[in-house]
Amino acid sequence: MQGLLKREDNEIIALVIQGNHRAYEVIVLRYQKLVFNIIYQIVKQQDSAADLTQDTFLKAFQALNTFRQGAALRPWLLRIASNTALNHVRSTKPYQSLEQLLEDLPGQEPASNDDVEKKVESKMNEERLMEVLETLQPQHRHLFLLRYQHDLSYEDIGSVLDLPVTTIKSLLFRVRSKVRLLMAREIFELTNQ
Amino acid sequence: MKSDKPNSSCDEIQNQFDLCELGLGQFDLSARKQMESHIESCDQCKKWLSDWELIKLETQQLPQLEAPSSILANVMSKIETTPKPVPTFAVSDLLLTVAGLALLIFSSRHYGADGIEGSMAWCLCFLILFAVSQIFKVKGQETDYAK
Repeated sequence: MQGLLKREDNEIIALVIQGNHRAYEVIVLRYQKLVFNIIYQIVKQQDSAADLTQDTFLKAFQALNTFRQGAALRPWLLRIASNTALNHVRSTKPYQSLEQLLEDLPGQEPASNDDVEKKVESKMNEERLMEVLETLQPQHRHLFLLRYQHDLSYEDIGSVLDLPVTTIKSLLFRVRSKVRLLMAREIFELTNQ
Repeated sequence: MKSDKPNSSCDEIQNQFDLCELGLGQFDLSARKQMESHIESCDQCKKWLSDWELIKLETQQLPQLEAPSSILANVMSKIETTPKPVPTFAVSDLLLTVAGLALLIFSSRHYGADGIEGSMAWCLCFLILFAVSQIFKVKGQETDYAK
């Protein structure tokens, strides 16, 4: 096991395909935290996130034959995780596609003054940001966090969401505007309380 | 430019900054310099940019949950107890080969191997096989991801 931990993803996958199923443990150990967090950020329930994380790894295991040798495992795995989590959300909540966001142009942020600026600074903390992110639709939050928390490249996000890079960039353009707008609204409400 | 109030120029600059950061649109060196010098000299845009940088930083630093320890054990036990499925393409390929051979034999007997009718029969066989293989491929993907 110790020796396996040092091996690259592609070497591990080759071993699993050859029949060494225990090698798959390394893949689960390596990616379970990331997959669990990505799913949790979409479904927002720990129990469901744990179940869906298991489903993701089982689906990935069963689909290993279709994994292109030499390709990056992370975006492939995250794609399965995203589909699994978004399907779960779709089955429980009304669904709006990512593309629909392209038609949803946010308005302008309210102006700030010195007093507001101080409150903005104190408000811009983790808790407020999480509140704002939670008001986003799961797909939009997912896109934003893939880029700005998990630091995935536009190309990798494109692979995960099965969308062209230019669409990813256009969507991000709008989602980040929306995040700023929501942050500004929070601040506006705070200062008018 | 020194201003605390938003104006169309600031909006435009902020818009340009976003497009530039995302690699959307084309900005030459002078446009970039103009944008940078505006942000440098404009209090509102400077504030806008520092707020955005802060949002990015805080997003990066958002706490991540530890995955429950049961995940690994559950996945591995299911993998051990569930036999690895036979790849769907192997069965479908076999069926396709048999169907293709049957079609080819039928068409060559019926139309003969030569002439325009023979060529058309070969093309038809190829098209049918291609369509069926695509259907199998799509079905395979659906079962992989829709479970």
